[in-house]
Amino acid sequence: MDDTVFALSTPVGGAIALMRISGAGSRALLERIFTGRIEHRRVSYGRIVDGAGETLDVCSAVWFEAPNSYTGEDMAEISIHGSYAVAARLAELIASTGAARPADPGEFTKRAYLNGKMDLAQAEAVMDLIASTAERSRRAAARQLEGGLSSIVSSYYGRLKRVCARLAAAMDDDTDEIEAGDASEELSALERELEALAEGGLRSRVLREGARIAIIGSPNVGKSSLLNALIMRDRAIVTPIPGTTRDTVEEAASIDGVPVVFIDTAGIRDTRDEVELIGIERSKRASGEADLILWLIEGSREIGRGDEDIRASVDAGKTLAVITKSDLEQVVFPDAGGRIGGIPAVTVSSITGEGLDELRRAIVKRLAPSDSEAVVTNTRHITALRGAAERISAAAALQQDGLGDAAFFELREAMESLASITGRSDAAEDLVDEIFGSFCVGK
Amino acid sequence: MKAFANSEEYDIAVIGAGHAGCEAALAAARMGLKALVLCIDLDSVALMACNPSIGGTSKGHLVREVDALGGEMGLAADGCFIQMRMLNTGKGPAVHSLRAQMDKRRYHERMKAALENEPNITLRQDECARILTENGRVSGVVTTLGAVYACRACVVCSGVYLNSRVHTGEYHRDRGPSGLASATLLSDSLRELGFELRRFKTGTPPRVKGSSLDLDKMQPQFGDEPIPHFSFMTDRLEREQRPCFLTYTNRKTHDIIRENLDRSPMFTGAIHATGTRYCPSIEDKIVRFADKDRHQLFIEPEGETTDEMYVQGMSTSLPRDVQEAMIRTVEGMENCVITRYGYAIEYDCIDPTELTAALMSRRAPGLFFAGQINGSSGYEEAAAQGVYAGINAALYVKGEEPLVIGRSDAYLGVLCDDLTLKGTNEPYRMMTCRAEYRMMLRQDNADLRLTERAYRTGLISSARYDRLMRKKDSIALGKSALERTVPASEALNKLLAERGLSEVRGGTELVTLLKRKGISYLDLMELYDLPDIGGEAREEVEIDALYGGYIKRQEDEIEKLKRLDGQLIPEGIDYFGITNLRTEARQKLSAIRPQSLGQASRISGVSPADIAVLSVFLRRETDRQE
Repeated sequence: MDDTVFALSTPVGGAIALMRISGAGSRALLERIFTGRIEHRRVSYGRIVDGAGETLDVCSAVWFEAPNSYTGEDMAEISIHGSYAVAARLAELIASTGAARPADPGEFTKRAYLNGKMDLAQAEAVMDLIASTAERSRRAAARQLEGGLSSIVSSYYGRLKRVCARLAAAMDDDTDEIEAGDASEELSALERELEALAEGGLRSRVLREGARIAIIGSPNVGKSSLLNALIMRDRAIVTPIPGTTRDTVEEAASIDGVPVVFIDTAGIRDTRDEVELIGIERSKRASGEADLILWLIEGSREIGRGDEDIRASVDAGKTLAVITKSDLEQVVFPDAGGRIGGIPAVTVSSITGEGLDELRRAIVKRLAPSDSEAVVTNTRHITALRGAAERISAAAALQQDGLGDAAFFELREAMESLASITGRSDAAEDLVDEIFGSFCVGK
Repeated sequence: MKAFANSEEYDIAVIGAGHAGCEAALAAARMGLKALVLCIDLDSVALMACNPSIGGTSKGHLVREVDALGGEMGLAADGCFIQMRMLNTGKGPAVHSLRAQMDKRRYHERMKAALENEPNITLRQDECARILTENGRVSGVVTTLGAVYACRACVVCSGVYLNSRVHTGEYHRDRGPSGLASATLLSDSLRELGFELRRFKTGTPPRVKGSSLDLDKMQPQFGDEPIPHFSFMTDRLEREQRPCFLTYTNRKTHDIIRENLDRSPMFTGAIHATGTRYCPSIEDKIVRFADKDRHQLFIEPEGETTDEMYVQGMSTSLPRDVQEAMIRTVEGMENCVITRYGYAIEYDCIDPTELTAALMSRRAPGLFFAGQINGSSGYEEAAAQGVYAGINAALYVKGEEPLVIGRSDAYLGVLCDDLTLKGTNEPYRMMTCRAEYRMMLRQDNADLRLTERAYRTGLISSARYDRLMRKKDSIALGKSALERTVPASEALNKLLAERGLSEVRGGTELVTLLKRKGISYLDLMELYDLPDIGGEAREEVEIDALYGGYIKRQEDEIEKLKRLDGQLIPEGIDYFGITNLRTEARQKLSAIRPQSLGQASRISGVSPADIAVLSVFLRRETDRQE
């Protein structure tokens, strides 16, 4: 741990990006690339210059002397302009000096922890704070620690343990009385289910990164009113995030604690552009990108050709129909099953607020797993589940080949993989590495 | 009172001459120490009080490890076997295990002779009554006959003899196994030294008259030919082998047992001790596995010069008449005559977490423990601890660093690590699944793993050392020859086709061919110019080709383990002074006092978070000192 590491500790795309450098070589490195003054805990302004003396960015930097820094080591924080190009060039420049290497995920916090700047519980808490952007995520993280995930993984651990025990008993029995039996069915079931659990875990990353919601519909259907109503009511706009293309703006918000990002809201807000952007092409694009599509239909107007085209273009499985303008006289009604065109529908008024709560609940229900479900919000856990599934699959093949010792080896590793989630593992150092591996890089 | 002054002085006293005691005494004596061996009955030296076999799954590994360390058990077994059989041959090389049926009388004589022929050993029939200490260190032993022997180290190998009590039905007597006397005084001496004693229980099945059995109704099991052997020093064995026989209990047997459970001391409450789950009595099996309608019995001859046979699988403490009635329901045993009845035996043992990794008590430096007194079960577990404790007691007397064999080195290491760090709540039996580095800890490579490490003890003869070096050279020679790339040829593809394998088209490395199922080094020798490296080296080369990937993975893990084990914890550390450690961890760590972070991590009740806290604490301490 005597080497110097660097990492970008904010997502690229914000107005400002923070590059952190930690380790004994930080000062020398900073002196080499930054023209400003270097003084403990002082913000100074200067330029980032490359080896040829060319200016990369005009920026500010703060210097921290060990042990009075986040990691407890000499550290520098450089705030640069947040474009991808600048961040990438700075990273390239630092790496090219050979004085520092890119940090492993979570390595900054790991260093802080190992240098006695925080205890393990604090370190884990930092991970959760970084990772959960809204109340529900925090609750999921808490629930996970309290044992929601633990108990589910424990039950898989138990099943695996049973298969393992049988193999082991057969190997440790001198009389050949205990037969290993055919475990292939149970093994393939375990593999499948663990894969599915990992897959579910990937889905619930929605909770960390925010669900992407597209609001689509014919012109004047009330998209921007609905968006404003949803957001205003919650008063939970977090930050405006410049989108990936110039003509769209994404709006991050929180609906009943679920972090969401409304996409293509620029088009929705700017009705003049709408003509270009409406229709099937846009619906298709939104349908592809979004976790949830709100398909708006005006309740006071007969369903038109345009509405039907949009309906045909979206993935019904991830669409909610919203019948708008319930404050006006209604001509569109959901069927007896509460659906329109086969899609569950909610009737709302952005003006009176009627139906908005119901819509929120419907959105949350679609996006967030219910409290009783296992929420694998953490990449470390997903990796462990996947790893266990792979081991189990290898074990099944080895067992067929009559190599029980190797099969057992794989199964034990699968068990350890699961145990690393519930904290039953003996491999303490690995576990610590893994925990820190799930931190956002640079924090 | 004192008639004659006692002038006998020893470096080391070994209490008990069972499988642990014999190995401990031989190791220490061969390392140049004067050793006194006390035994309650010299006719019971190395007595196989239970089954007449040595080895078996994972135990076979231990025997080979004892041998690789210069111990006696493997050589004695090769000398006295009446059947040799390699088990688990269909389950992969890592779990191959050798088991030998013994002539148990001859085994006793063979081992006793080894002690007698060792000039540094004094073997004496007497019972140890007290262990003396001076300034906390071992200084001598006192016997029931009143002798006082000065010594600097003591290895307690009391087996199942401490305050032992046997039970057969309504019969209960304070005595040792096989009608031998129990040792009644040492327990109090250990208590005086501060040890808390526990009660464990084990048992044995009836022995029967072989000629009263109808062996034709049973399934014979024969030894392997050519005959495999335990010791790395044995070249070849030739002997007529005796078969064992398989038969089964049935519903009738189980009914009789069920009807008489109320007369079993296990259920009447006469026995309070903890038994082993891995070697349950037949009445235990009937109760716990109620849905099984039969259990296997394995009939083993007890020797060449006796007609007695051992009924493995029928360990029992039911009354005499029930034993007779139940055994006669078994196919082939309808007219069975019991020669010795089965019994259960309770005995005192210590909590092995009081010991260091080298099996020495932290309470009384110089006081070592090995075998069943540590809560283990089995001859091989005892012998392995015996040789290990003997070596370390000798090193202690010589003032040298202990020889520490870890989990990644040997089953012996797993055994001692488990006992001293995790402890055990039942008689501990070695099992392959306890060894996480099992792919490397094979019975075929025990010499490669251990012999050089034990070299400094002086237990490794030059003949043994030379053999090892030759084996290593042959392995290296074979491996380098296999690096050659050969072109596809008709002869090669013919061989592959014969073995049901797909043909090769381009050039192939020979070692790659060896990875394929059913292709051996000898096959390749037929086709290519490969050196003749001998059977032992061939086995290593073949396993290495097959399991190289696993071995590499385990080596990486071992690296990590070693790093943790290399982070030492200062002896006087106050765990209650470390904030953030959980209470349970503080208590466990304070009680067990691990010597390294690695050891600490293996204590149950100490979580990874505790280890992290401890590691941060240790790092800060180191920084402060620097």
